[in-house]
Amino acid sequence: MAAVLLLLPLFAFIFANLFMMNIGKVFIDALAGLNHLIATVFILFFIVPLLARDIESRVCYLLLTPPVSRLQYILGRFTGVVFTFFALMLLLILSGTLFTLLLLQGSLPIYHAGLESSTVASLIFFQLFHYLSLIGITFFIFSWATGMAEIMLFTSAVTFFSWSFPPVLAALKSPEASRDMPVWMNTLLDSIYQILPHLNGNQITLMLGHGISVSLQEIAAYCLEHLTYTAAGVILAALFFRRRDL
Amino acid sequence: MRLSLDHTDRWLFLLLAVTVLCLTFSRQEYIQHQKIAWSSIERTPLWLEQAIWGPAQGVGADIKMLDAMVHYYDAMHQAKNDPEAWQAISRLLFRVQELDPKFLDTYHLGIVVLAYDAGMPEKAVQLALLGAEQLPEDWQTPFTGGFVAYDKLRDYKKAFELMDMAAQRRNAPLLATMLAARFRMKKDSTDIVIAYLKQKMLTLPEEYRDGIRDRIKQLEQQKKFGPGE
Repeated sequence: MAAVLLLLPLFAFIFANLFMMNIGKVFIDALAGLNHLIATVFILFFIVPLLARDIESRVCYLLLTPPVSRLQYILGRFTGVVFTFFALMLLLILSGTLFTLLLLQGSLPIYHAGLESSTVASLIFFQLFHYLSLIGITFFIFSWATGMAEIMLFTSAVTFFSWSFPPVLAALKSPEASRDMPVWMNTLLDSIYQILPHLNGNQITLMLGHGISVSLQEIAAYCLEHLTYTAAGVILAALFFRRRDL
Repeated sequence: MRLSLDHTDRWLFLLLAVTVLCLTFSRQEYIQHQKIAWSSIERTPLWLEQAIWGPAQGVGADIKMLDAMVHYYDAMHQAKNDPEAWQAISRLLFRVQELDPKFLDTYHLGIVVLAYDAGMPEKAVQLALLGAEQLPEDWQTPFTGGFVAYDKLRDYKKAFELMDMAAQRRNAPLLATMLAARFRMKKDSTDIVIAYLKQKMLTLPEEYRDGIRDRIKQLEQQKKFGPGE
């Protein structure tokens, strides 16, 4: 996976060079899209099997010997997974920044308007928080699920929801769309909107790709919202796991 | 693992090569003879596309743009006179615009393709207006849109509006101001155009002012002696 992450910006770089004008923007789009894919693969095919194996093969029995409490086990697993994810994202920041510098030096400014050497780091920083909250929710699912099938099903559903719903919700919240909607539907959408991050992954990628700066207030709100999901996921996971029959 | 090739291996490699060649030729034949179903291109509702692309809508817009370019090539070679083909390309370009409203390539390629190849200048001007609104730093989009409105639609009001918008933007050439004045001449009096140019002279950079002064002189002479002088 580390090798793939080092090569990822190369694919984005090649893809971007198929375009005429906004090469910098396409590079960021492609990198963001590929990183979403990699992060999803990391959750579904690394974290989920790891946690499922702990339950199904009873690996956690070995770990849950007296000096290690269930809370410590959950926190230990979470920390390990998150640090592995951080290390992978750091690799992507390094290789992505390298290709950004190559793009900045190898083409005229008109082709990479808005792109800066720090854009990749900002992009990965935002994506990191998004997937941190998904990891937290995966731990919550793991705390009550019976095995691989359940963890995989519910984690895939949450990942799909986090992928598809925010952009559709943002579109439905536009004045044109909400004008023709019944009042109850608007109220329902408003309620859902209140519990989801207001700045979604799509808006961030487009803003960074076009060189539009994200305000400090938006960044703070975004990070806080995702950290809240993460913390809630891990706390609930600990609560459920401590009461579960193993 | 044995690395040397025996007789059977050689035959198997030959068979593999022939199979790959057959696949390549059949694929080529298929591509050359397939009929593109233009009417079915880009019929997906926007909300579904947004749900599919999720946080990667930018990539969605990029891939749709590539799709538009590929279909443009197909249309130029196979269906130049088929209105369905150009409608499909127009749908693709507007979908790209919806997915990523600030994507420069949509406007720079789309406006010209729609106006001069697809024979849809109204759509081209519509796209230019959307682009001019979304990209306040770009002078080329309203410039091209204004030119299309003048050249293809003979809509002098819209042509002037777009060209004037282009002239007001950063790095716009003097040509934009001059064309805006010419488009205005088509619907307003010479006095109004002279007043417009004088007002422009106050805001434009020093190096542009001589050109505008010359044009004002020309217009004043035209006013005195008539357009023939």
